Amino acid sequence: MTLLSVSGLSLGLKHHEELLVRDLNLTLERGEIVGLVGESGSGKTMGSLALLGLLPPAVEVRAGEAALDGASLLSGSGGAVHRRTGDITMIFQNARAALNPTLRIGFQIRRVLTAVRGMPRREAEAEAIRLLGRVGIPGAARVARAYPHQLSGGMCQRVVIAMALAFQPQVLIADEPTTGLDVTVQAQIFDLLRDLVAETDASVLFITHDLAAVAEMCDRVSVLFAGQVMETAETVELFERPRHPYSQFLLASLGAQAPERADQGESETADVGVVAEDRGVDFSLPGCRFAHRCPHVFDACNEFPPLFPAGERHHYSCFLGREIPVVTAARS
Amino acid sequence: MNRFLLRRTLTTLITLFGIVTVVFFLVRVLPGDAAVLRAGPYADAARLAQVRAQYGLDRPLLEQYGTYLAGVVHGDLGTSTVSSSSVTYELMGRMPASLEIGLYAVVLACLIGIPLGVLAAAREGGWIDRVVRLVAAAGSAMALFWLGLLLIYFLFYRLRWFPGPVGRLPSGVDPPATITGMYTVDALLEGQPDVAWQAARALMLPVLTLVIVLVAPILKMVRGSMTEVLATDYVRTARAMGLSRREVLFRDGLRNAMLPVITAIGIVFGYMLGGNIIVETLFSWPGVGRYANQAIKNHDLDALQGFVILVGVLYVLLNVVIDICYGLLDPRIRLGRRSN
Amino acid sequence: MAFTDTVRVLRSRAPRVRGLASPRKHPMAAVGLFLLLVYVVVAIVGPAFVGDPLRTSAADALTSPGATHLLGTDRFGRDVLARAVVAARMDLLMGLVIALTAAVVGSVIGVVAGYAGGSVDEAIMRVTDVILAFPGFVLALIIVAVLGDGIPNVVVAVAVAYSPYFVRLTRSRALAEREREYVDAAALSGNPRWRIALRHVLPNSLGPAYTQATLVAGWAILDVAGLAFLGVGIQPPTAEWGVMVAEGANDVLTGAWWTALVPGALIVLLALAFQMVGDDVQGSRR
Repeated sequence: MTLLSVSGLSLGLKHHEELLVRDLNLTLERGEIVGLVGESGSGKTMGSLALLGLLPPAVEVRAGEAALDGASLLSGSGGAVHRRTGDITMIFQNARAALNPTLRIGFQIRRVLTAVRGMPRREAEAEAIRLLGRVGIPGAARVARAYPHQLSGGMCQRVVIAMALAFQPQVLIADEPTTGLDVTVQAQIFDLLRDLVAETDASVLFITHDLAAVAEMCDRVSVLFAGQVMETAETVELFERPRHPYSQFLLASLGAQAPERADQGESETADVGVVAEDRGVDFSLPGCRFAHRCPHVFDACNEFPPLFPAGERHHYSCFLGREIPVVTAARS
Repeated sequence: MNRFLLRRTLTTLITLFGIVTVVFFLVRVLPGDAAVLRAGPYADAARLAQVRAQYGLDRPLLEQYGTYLAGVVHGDLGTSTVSSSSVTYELMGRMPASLEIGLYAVVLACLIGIPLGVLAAAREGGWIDRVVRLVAAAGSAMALFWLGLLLIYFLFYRLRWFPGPVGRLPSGVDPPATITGMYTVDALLEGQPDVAWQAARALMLPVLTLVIVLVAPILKMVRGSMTEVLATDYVRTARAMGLSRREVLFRDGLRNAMLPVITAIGIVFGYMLGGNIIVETLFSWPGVGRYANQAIKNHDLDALQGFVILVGVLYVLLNVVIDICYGLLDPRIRLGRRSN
Repeated sequence: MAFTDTVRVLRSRAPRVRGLASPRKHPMAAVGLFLLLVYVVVAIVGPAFVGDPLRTSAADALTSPGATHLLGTDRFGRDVLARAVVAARMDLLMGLVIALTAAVVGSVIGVVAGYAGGSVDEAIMRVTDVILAFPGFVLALIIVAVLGDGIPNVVVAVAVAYSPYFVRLTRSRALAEREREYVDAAALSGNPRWRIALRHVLPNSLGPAYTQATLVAGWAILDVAGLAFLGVGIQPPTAEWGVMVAEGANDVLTGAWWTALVPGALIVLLALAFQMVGDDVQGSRR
């Protein structure tokens, strides 16, 4: 049953014509982890901020709808919505920066409990310590009295996750939560997130540029480029049969291989054709945002491509339709 | 924190020492005979010899420096050539008058500037924000002496709302007994509210002049600091976790934005110490600023020297206090950087 | 702060007008520059178009602004407009010279401190600290009091008070530039250290100094006028706006506002013009 649905969401800078995010479509079911993949500046963070009503003052919603459990998320001007417990929250990339350096850890978790869940102070104090323990922080009581600068990056991210738990969201947006953390810590955070999803039946929108993380964590994934959704599919499907030239380029350039193919000895280094260097996207042009780099570009690409189906729960935004071969060039 | 305090004390002492040294040698740099300068162009040889002996001008320079330094450490800033009394005594006598203007001005500037700056940042792009930014920009280009005259012209000469620049009290009103030296405070303590009111009225124009100029840097600093804080990741996270704008404004915003503002208040104090001279001269106010001005006119070098040292010392001490406050409030400094 | 970066990156990708920054994007700086231009023109050619600033006339003393004397006359019957225009040269020039001097001297010292490092750097920093221990105006005051009246002394005094700003600015840039490759390259080609410092590091450390110099020019004019108002540095009958304000201060009490308030307004307006240019450029650099 669909928990979060975003349709046709478009965002733009105020007083400017061009769109930052264009026709974003996403769905999230209960208990799912969906990945949102793209390079920096592709609009992944911006789109998510829109869902929380936390867009920066310079950005506005131009079109589209977003609803959580049926209730619209976009009503009210950005920032005016006082968020209630049980809906949607977000954790960000730089965890230490996400914590107020002059407030104690325990207090920062406690205030979410008192403000949003109406918990009395005594209870909130105890609950905060319990949550710190739940996210795997040793010596929770001591850490609760500490300040953020005294903790490591990984610990800070756990604290932020504890804050999110205090909020008890139905949907958690995790925006590059492990960038900058070392690999072992990264794995621990992933495990933590997976456990929490299993426990609470919450859904996670996992934003990242790291395809390996996607392979590990996500049930489904959407590929974003310059604010345009290029392809959406189940993870395995995307890795095995990427349809959009951009997805193919991503997978090829990052050397990602679907495990089965590697076993069969076929090189998945696809013959994607030459993808032009990034000269910067011209956001004012109406057509496909990848057109200026796409090796298969042709006339139709001057119009904005709708989503074409490519299989069960697999769509991509490209006029090549079924004409482009599935990418597996056996190298001799 | 202790290491921080120690370092700070050390650098402060060096700076204070530097101030006294610089001032001493600066004044000695004067071309011409120091004795002539002190005694005046009409002094005869006998008078000159007397002056030389009295001020130790015939001693080697380093010895003069040593004597002076020793004197300063004991609070002796030399003797005024005009009044022949101790410079320290004269400065201390005039301090309360200057403090009265200065303190009221700084406090008022903060009381007005801080809330307005916070409001401007909270409603970024709104009309308050625009007005605040305009005032902050205009204030940085303001000339105290012109502003004072402008206010005197409109508010005294034309509108008669305030008394003219005749000093701390109108003639015919006796000052209260000296407790702090500040007339408003002393009069209230003495149970003389009418005297306190007269003193307050006399203060209004000079204080207003200073406040207008001092508010500008405060507005700029508060607004800037607050805007920065409101754009941080931790504010964004707090909002994402369901905390309301108002809660975040007061809890995260104020706390964190005020830290750099404290430093700004130190700068404002500096402006005030410098601007004091002009304001006191303009309003005929018997404070240390006007004393310094007269000292220049009279070539009263010791007096001028004493004034500059006083100002330098005050400024340095104030900045030390501010740094300590900052250290106390910011846990990153207070607790040192340790990772668990 | 990822999202503000994204917004900025995306904004910068928007098609831009080639050439000089459009005045529409920087209204403040445009207005400021226009004002400065007016001042410069008036300073250069103004004196040819106004009456004799030195002509006194007891009969005409303290006439309010009107047809014959556009800005009135002062206590001695001198035409305020004429005197103010002639003073423009003095004030404008002083502001620029002081800013330039402070910038040049301060920048060189700053680069030396940043590039040399070690005890040289420490020593320079301590000295700078002592200079900054005084409010600028007070320091300038005592330096002029010591050196005596006269324009060069005032220039030196105020320049000394502002040099530390530049020392600090260029020092931090120099510290960064020092690590760059071209410095190594220059060293390898056998350049002596002083030459590397002055010919290579200095020009690249000057960036923030330009804006600061603009702001300092405005403040310097305020300081010079302030000193003159106190009777320090520049004395009557020299035509300088601060002197004019001092001479006219008492007139305000009798209602003759134009003798003091007009020259004062000119000072503030000029300082404002510099401020507008400096602030706007500073803002857009961020």
